[in-house]
Amino acid sequence: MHSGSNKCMESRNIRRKSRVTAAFSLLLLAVLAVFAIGIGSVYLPPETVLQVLFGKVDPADPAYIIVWNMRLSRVLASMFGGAALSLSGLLLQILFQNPIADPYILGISSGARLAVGIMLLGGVMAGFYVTNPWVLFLGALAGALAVMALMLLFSARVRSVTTLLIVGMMVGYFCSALVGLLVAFSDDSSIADFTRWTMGSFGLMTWPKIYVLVLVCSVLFALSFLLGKNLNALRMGEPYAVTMGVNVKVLRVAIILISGLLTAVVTAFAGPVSFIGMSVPHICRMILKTDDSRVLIPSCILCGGIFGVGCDLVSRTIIAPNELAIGTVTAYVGVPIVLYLLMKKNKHE
Amino acid sequence: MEQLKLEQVDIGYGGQPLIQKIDLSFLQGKMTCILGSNGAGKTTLLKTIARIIKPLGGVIRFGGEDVRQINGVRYAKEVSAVLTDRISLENCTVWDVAAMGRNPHTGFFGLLAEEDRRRVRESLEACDAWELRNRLFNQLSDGQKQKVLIARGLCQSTPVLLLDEPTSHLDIFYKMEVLQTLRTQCVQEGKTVICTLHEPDLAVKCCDRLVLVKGDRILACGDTGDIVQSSAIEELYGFSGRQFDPVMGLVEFPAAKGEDVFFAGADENTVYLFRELNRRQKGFAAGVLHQNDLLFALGRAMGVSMVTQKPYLPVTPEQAEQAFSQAMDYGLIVAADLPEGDFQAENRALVRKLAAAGKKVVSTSEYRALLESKTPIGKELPDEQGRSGIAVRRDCRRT
Repeated sequence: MHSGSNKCMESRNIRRKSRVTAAFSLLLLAVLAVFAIGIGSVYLPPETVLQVLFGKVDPADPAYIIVWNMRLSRVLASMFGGAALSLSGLLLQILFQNPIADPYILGISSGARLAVGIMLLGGVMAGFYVTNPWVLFLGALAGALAVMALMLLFSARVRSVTTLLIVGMMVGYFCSALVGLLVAFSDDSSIADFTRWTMGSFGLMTWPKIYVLVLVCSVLFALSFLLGKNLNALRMGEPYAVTMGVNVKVLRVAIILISGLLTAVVTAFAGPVSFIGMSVPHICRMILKTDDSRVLIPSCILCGGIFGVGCDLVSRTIIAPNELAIGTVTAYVGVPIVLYLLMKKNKHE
Repeated sequence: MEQLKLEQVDIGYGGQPLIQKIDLSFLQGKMTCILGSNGAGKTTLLKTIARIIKPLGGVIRFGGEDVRQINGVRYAKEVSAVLTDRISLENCTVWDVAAMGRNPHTGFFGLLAEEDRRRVRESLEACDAWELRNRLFNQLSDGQKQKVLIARGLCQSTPVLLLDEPTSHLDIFYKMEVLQTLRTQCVQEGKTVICTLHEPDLAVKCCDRLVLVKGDRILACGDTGDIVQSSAIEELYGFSGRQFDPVMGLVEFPAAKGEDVFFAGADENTVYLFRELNRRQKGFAAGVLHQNDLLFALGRAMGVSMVTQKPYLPVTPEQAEQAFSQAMDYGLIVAADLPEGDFQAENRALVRKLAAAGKKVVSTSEYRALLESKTPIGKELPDEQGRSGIAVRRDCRRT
């Protein structure tokens, strides 16, 4: 059939476009990463960076030390952190069918913030003071996972996703209120420590932390690929998904589990990093002009990586030697992009 | 064959039963319509069958098998649904939406095979939506969206298709088109269609079987013909008098009270006059009409007082006398152009008798001409000054 073959050609075109975009994004990510490793208080040209990475430089060389001990870990952290938050945001936006859903909405980062708050601020009252970063990490992880477990519990009982969304926001507010209480009873120096943590940063990542981050992210990225088809069925709403044979309850749990763990691990390492989770999925949707989760999941991971590396680079260079909070940069970069794309889209429709 | 069977099923939300102990069966290859007023539980019933909500009790059987034994994907290959949920899908073309219906049939990654593409195309063509395939779903009109959603349902290639109010928010053209499509699926593809409708007149015309849901119970269920014979539909909607004629599928506004115009006999102008007087909310009656006359069905649906005779029998003097005594109370007599012969002899005599008794008599064609000449409302009847312009005959020339 004439028009039938047209259709096939079209989807082939879409597939080709996706492939081209993917290849281009990978290339962009790699180039950006090399530059990000090179840029800093000591500038390393890209060729030096590549030589170091491919083992052609003596380990005693300062460049080697700079790359392996300082910059690479940070770039990897921002890459995986950005990717993880973007994917988490995408999954939650699909689940809640709400374009403003992001990891913050579920209260997960608020949980981490509360846990860290208890450790950094609660010490005054309880007579202990935590400074060990690993304890802080584990505390933040525990806080994030606790909220996630709470949300899973609710998701089994609550029928409507809108209610679940509101529950998440309420939990978030409640955690914030508790933090406010802690702040009221704390001394200035611990408040300063706490505030620094809440600003979020991909610095201060040690290699063991990177291993954990990369491992957890890789596993969850792979798992999310398996959800693609069911996520597509969810686009028309849960009732329709049920009639298409999707086990909505299991899917809900899977989404909350994956996005919760991703957020928890990133927040625990880097503090609350806002806005990436909300903006990157929008950027991907509008660039690719598709709602197909099978395309959006990999593109969000790639685009989130680019976004994370780029924003982290800006945050540590723009007012060097001082550092801007990563959340500040993500908002500065993300807000104009999302607004521009939204306006452009509205004009077309 | 019973394809879907409900045995003592309780339906409702959140443990709160809406309808209890439902026993129903849906036959294969038949189009069944669930009728009921708003909030009666039609949608709940449909969603329970679609397994979107769980029944509070009882057993639903598909082809004899308890549906709880059937897993989600397998059930999705047997039963598809078109719901009323307003769908907003950004960046989705009509093709994408229809292709979603293939979900239970595709493999792990949901890639469409050639067979799937063929089904998508067939479904879109069946719903007359193939031309829309490259349009964005969100940019379609309500009627077009509905056709695409039905195409998505068909695309699922299930023997049973459930539709919740497939015609709501659609204009009459789309309503007919959608129902015609479903009818075709039933007749040509042997699909079992179960839908809810808000239009009893359309339901009796296109559905094989009816299920009437009222309040907390199933009022009636069975073949459309049987249901129509009973007064169940009138009971369901609480129609005053007989506003709805299920046999003809007529829905009419009730006639106004008052004794303004009496129609002696009926001819080709009378349908127009019935409707026009009803629009002007004037009271009217008629006699003597034959029960196989079109006017009889119309008048009955409007609740008009009529003196009638059985089909193909001459009007009797007793009936004419009854009509005469009734007509004497009315302000104006409108005489039909009645054919010669014994059949209508008594009606012709009735007109003469009314004229002789001093009643104002006009012919249907004259009266029609008057009402068509934009006579203002309230001036339908001749007054003594003759301002309404009706030439009132004091006698009737016709014999």
